[in-house]
Amino acid sequence: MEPLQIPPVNLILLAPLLTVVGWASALLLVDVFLIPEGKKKLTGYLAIAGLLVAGLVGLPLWNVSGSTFSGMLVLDRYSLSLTWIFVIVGALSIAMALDYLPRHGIEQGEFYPLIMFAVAGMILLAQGTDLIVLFLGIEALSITLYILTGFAYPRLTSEEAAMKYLVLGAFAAGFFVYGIALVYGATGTTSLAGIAEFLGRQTLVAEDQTLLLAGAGMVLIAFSFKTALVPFHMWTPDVYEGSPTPVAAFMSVGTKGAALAALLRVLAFAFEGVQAYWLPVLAALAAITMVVGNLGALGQTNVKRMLAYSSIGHAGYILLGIMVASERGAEAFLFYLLAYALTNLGAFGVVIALEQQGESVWSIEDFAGLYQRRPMLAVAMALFMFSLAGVPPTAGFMAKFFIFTAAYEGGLGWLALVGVITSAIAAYFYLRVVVKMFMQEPAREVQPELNRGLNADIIIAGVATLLIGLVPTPFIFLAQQSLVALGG
Amino acid sequence: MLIALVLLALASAPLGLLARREPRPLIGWLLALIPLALFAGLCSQLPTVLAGGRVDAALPWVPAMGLELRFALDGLSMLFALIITGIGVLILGYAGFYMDKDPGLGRFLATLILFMGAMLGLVLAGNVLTMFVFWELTSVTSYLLIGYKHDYPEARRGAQQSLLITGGGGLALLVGLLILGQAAQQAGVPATEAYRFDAIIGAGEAIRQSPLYAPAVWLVFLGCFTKSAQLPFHFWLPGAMQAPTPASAFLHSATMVKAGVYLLARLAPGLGGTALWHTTLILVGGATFVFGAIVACRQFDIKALLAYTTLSMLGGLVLLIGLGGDYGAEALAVNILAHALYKSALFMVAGIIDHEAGTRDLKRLGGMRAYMPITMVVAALALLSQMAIPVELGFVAKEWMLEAALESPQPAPLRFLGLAAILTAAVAYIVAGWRLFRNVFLGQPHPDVLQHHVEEPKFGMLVAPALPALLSLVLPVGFLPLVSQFLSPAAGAVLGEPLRFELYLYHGVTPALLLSLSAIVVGGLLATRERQIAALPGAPAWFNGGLLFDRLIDGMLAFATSLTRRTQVGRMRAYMLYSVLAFLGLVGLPFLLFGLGAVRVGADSDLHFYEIIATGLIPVGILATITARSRLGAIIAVGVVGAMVSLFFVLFSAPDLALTQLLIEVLSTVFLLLVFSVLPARFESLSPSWVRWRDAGIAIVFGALMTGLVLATATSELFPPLAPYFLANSLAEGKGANVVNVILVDFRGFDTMGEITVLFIAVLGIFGLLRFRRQVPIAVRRSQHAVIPGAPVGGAEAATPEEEPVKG
Repeated sequence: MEPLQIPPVNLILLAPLLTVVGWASALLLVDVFLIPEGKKKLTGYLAIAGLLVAGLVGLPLWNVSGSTFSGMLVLDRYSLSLTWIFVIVGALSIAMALDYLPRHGIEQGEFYPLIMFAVAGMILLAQGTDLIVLFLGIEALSITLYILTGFAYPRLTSEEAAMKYLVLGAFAAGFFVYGIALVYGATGTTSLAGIAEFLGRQTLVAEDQTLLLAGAGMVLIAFSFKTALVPFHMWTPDVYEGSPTPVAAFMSVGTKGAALAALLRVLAFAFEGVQAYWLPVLAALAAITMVVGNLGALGQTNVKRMLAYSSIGHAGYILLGIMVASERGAEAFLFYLLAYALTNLGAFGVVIALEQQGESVWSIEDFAGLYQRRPMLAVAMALFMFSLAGVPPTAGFMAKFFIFTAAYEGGLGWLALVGVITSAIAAYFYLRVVVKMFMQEPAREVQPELNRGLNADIIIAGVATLLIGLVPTPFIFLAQQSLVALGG
Repeated sequence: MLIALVLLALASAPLGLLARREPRPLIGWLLALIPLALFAGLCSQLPTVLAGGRVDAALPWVPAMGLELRFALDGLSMLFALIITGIGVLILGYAGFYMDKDPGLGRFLATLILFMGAMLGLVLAGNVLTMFVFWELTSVTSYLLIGYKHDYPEARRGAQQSLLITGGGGLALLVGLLILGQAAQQAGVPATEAYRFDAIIGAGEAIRQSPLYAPAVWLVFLGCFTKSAQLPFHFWLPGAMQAPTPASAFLHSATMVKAGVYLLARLAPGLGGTALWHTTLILVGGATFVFGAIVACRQFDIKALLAYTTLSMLGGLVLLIGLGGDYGAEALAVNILAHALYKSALFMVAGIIDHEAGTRDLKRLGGMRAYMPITMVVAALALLSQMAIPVELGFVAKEWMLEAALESPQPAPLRFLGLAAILTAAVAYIVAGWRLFRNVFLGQPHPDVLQHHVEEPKFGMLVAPALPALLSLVLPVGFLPLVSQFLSPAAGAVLGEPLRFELYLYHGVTPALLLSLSAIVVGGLLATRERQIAALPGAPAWFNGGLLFDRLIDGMLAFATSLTRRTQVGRMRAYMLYSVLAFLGLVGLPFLLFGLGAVRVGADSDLHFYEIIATGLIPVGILATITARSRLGAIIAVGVVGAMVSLFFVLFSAPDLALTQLLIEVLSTVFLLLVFSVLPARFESLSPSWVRWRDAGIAIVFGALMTGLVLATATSELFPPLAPYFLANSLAEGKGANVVNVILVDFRGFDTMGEITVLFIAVLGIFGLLRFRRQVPIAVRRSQHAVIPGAPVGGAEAATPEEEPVKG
């Protein structure tokens, strides 16, 4: 036994994460003591500023890489790119919420730091290289989201959603911990690199490694819960519908993205050696996820539920990039995540603009005739719908193209085919919104409400959706650079 | 140059909005300068192209993925591009007059120009992926054009159908093109070039040998057949005539529907030459050719009649690609030109009649020759070309078509099938053409028409159809050598090798001429009986692709909805059930298959009786919990389970764990009591007994699996246990006698800190939530809502009306 050593700690590597956490903690105090009731919007602006600062702090770290806390946390370009995506997602979500909260009578200063803590959890997931840290990240993210889901008080669906999310989330957390324990039992380590090393040392005989496989299976199930893969997706529509819309927007891209990013690391590094075992399972999950998610969206008349199902379907597409586990697949994953996140945040922004005070309908009928009333809003929404459906020349098309070709080249041609077919189905319900907006008369008087934060969100998302679609090269370059020296 | 042309077309689309102002008719012609400029720009490249050269232009887009904006102008592209821009000039000018009262004209023209730009990009694309981008853009813009009159449900339906069909086909096409690119790469083409048309065609030999060939070709077929409205995807095209007439004229004559034909022709030198290619194209094209022609004879709406002849002609063009050979390629080029000229003229004439007489119904027109003689001449010129009457361009085209069938290199049965299709269609065209002409211009005017003030249209409107109609006559009479020179490179591109041919009006008595003339005679005879033909019983009502398609969509929707309703019930219990079942499938099954060997049923350790009692009480407690009628009873039973677990820890000498467990037990019992105080005292039975038994079964299996996993864990001891390390080091290094404490705050101090942070965040958030209660004291009385566990509140599709929040 070697003597106990204090692990070397290099806090520079965690600078963005620490910035977010520190800023959020300070913001809590500032919010309570300095910001008067009724001016809580200021807290929101400060939170956005904090996230942007965290993003800037990351800039000089682009050429830095290394791991700290005994290899439990790592800083590499992959995690840094993800950090930036998460920061953008968080900032845009807060921007959407600035006027949403007071409008619906649920303004609380805590909302903004909570989102920041959730972003911190996501960054932790991106940087974690140890199952325990990943668990910590998932919990930090989930617990804040349980609360944020219930924020639309006193709407009963919101409380119901929070309850469901909490119970199922706890269920998933149980699986995760049990899975970690089993993996530890089998390999003697929880570090991803350690697991990979263990697996690299010997050829694997399934009969001898029941524990490892069962453990890996449980970890996979926990991730499936978080990313809402079918059949662990059931909570998604209910929770998205119930939670405040900015939170639903945040979840649809943030939680998913972070959990998938962590899953990519786990699969590509820790369990690369047992790919033969998890690949068929994951492929089956991806296939049903794509099918069920898109079929589910077909029948929806509630736009929020429709977007919930659509996010399930998109998780299936993103999974393709993860499964390939090649460099190309990881690039496609990052690119898709960026494109999808911006598009979806934009779409949710339009939904928020149309959400009437004191209502919980989100009917697709409210989109009817939007073009006549607010042409630019309708055009923006059409852009988002086209992008989600994958119509060129939007970001969504590029992303789908990237990820399907990556899957095809990675030998998952049949999954790419399922992806294309389900995309064809998906086009139907996305375009239905477009038809409503451009071709039908309004069913009832809905006054879209736009404000500064929402405008910013929709404009940024819209411009990005077009820009990524038209000039994808720099973004792809960034994704490629992100994978240089991706360490386990 | 090419990039600038396409960009100019796309970027000038917003100029269409100018037509919102008066004088609209003039602005229409003013806007026509845009396509005119494009036309001129293309013409400046004519010398290069006619000399057999090609103009290339490329802009890297995403080189790594083989994506680039590449344009190439050769004979075939030139033919299409000139038709698109040339007809575009006429359509824009015509639209200004036709829709001069329509307030949406600006939007319409903007979309039309955008559509033209997309179409131009499509035919100029030199890379299949570039082409695909424009292909989808034409689908979307044509959707907007067809659905322009969105007040009419028919227009919406037509637009939606066309978008769904062509959009779906487009996706199939994309997959097909990607596979082609892969096949080209396998044939040795570098990845950055594999998606270029010339690379795919160049690697044609290898691609045809590849196993990827068949799937790729089928997918490409699917894309082209849907776009070009081939059987059985034809039904969207007649529905698309809901578009305003200028758009119909453009869609049918020069653009959109020709895209599928264009792509087939473009790929023919690379993918053609196999039995699969030629047989499919001859059968599908021939069937569509005949079907459309015969159905056209029975229409009463002028636009519907024209739409079906378009459908038919598209079939004819596909048939020509299928027939192949020199004559096939030549006939294709001639027919594309001839059809574009007469069909655009005819649609615009139909629009004029509609505009002036207020109807397009053949039963309610007649005698127009007295009111609009010039229009009649224009219509006659175009119709004669369609009917393939000598000296019109249509006649030359038809004769070349017959030659293509006679000289086709395909085996005899296919060749004769093609020939039969051409002759049948030729006869039907004459009937349809005569029917249109006679019912509109001859006979006595219908009383309805007389109520309108019918007169010749304005010059600016009439000139648009007159020009192509005149060309249909002038070109064959005076300029056949020029036309031949222009079409030769196009035919060469379809054939894949340079080609030079000479069109002629009369070349001696050939079989083709005899066949052509006899078709005219038979057609003429039948045409005298067009009324009887129109009255013949038609195809049964169910044989309507549109209806079938609608049903298919409805069926899919119903299926999706019911599937979602069933699975997404909104109840937690169901969600848990699915999750547990999925877990059993994912982890349980593999465990059963591989893992049981590792499970040891321990018999070697001594069992003490108190151990048996402690463990035995756990299941008893659980059973009691489940079966308890009162909530208090259930809480007590749960407490028993917790106490036994603590006892268990004590027995295995882990007092600290036992203490923790006990603490948690007490806490959770208190919480449960607090919560239960607001719930009814007794449980209600909410589910039937079979559900309970089912759930019990699943629970037992789940428990057994967990037990098995624990047993398996206990058996495998691959690594030295950690305990000795901690025991040895905790006092020495951690300066603490309580090992668990030292582990928590020292050895794994960072973990603990993380957990505390997470809990801190949780507390904070809950505090925020609780503050709502303080702020909103009256709004919600929880007891009023019977909170029944498991009852859906949000539910699958249900939305609960919510209470008005009262701001504090």
